[in-house]
Amino acid sequence: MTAARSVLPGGPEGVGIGWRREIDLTVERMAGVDFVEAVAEDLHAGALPESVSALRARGVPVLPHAVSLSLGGAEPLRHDRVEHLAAVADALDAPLASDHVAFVRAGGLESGHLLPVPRTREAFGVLVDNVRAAQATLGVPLALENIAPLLAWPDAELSEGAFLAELCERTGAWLLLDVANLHASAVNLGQDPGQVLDELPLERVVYVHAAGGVERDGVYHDTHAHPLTTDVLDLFAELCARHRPPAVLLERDDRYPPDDELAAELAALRSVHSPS
Amino acid sequence: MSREDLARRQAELLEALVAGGAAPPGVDPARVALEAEALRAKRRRALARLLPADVHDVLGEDLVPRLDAWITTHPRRVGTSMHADADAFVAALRAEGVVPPRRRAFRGWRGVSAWRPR
Repeated sequence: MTAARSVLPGGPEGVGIGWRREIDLTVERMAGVDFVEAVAEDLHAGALPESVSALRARGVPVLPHAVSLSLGGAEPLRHDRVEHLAAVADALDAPLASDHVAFVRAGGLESGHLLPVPRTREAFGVLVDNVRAAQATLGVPLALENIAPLLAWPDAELSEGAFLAELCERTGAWLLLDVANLHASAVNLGQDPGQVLDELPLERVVYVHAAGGVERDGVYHDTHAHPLTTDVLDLFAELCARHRPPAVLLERDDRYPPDDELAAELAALRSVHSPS
Repeated sequence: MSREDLARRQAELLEALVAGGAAPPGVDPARVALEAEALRAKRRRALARLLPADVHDVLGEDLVPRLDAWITTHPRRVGTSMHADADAFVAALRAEGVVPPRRRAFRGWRGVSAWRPR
């Protein structure tokens, strides 16, 4: 069985891994890497790292993934950051760019990490405005990712699935669905991941993120520093059973294991994605 | 709720997470504490990556409590990059005489990443 074709022209297909400076050579040399993703804020459009250029020269797609647009933030969108993402996407000749449904700054402070947006109509309107403004600057389609929450706002008017579905509908954005984050929402907020999958427009998923984490005292921490868990792989399998996404990418950001362990995790994702 | 209301609520939550503010109404204070610790841990790791070798050498096991004290008392302001944060931390240590003065440290050709996605 072959992997589903990408719904987005030129979009990723198969299995990928997050490119990080600390494992640049590992990623560059690893067999069976169909595409990679790099954190946009780590790159300079005018001076791409050598290993990123080497991957591009081999025709491996490199997708820029932003973390600092704060698309769910009520403060005015930082156009300089959107322009940086646009420039990096252009330098990489990428088929799409992405960021999260989250906010990272407010009241003059930076969080340093992705925080959840209240799922109210008002917050939804702000998010839609910001996404549209970002899309107007970007030269490529934008994909939006669900985050791993540790806390929830009160008074949600929409479920996460309905919120994301309507966001895609209103803005034309694509989905970067993170199954580890979906698992985090299930453990930490008691959300039913099956219901989220029911509500999401799965045909809008351009690729999937999977990553390792750890559960402590009933709370799931999406660390990207631990091995992939069975729960996350099972959720990915559940997604594939409903609607197989064109591609899946492993994120590992810390406590890098030996190369063969990373390769084994990619193989595990591949076997779920494209069973032989 | 207007954009201003949302801005206020988000600022209130962030203040609770990184600047010792109270948990906003309706948000579980235990989860706010958990998220606050997660943010501290992330900034601690990011800062540690950016510190010059001599700071690691001089502080040793004292590094983590020093970083925590810095993080708690210096919430990162908009426009302050992680590099600037690390520079300010090191400058404070040198000014206090905790770490001897030294020339600017080499940090790689373009600096290593402080940000990590989730």
